[in-house]
Amino acid sequence: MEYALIVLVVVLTSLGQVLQKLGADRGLKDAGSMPQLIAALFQWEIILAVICLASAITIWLAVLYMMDVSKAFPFISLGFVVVLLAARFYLRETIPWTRWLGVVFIVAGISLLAQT
Amino acid sequence: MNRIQSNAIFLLGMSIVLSACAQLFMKISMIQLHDTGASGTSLLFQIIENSAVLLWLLAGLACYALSMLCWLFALIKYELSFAYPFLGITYVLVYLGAVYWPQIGEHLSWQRTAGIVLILIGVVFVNYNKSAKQDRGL
Repeated sequence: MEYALIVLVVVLTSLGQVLQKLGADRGLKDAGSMPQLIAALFQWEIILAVICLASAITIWLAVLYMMDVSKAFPFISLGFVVVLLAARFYLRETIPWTRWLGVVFIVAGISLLAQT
Repeated sequence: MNRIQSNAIFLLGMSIVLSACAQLFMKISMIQLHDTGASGTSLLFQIIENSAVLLWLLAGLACYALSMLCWLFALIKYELSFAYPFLGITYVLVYLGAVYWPQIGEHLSWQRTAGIVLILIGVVFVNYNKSAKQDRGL
């Protein structure tokens, strides 16, 4: 149960991250004045990112209620694995071997934590 | 936006510290909620009625929101592949905080430490990118 919730948090957070980066690239970079900056914060990418992150944090509170934070928090690094797999199999990107190695380390670390 | 650009490393640091604080404050809030002994839907009412639960939760959420804002502005200057490995520091801060903050007091174990070290190495490898070095903008 806890682990299913963590996966849901990871997916929503990864989605939020990508949307934040898209929003930062599109609007925030060219904002020269305060009104422009505020307008740039209300573009759809940023609003959607906030919705994703708000749902993620609500579910996350339930996880924290059930688990040690020192055990639960590192599971968030599963986000790297999710994004890498999506990049490889959905976007058909070529992934350098160092990234796969990194994912192996992350998964090994998480397996150790899961046993504690 | 020159002022934001020159403060980008400070914003990145703030984002890391605030994000660790957010986790610890939210955990304290959930510990307090647990201590009320409430269950089911009355958990939701306890969050609003119990001022300790509510204050730690709001402090956690405020840190989280500020951290996100700092991160967003830091990303204007840095490539994601440069900035992301620094977030790995958050795992260490949360672990140390969870163990040494008296109200949380979780156990330090070699297995958990080893797990976090492996994750840190993994985070660096995942983001290691030779060709992006010149984009660091330092």
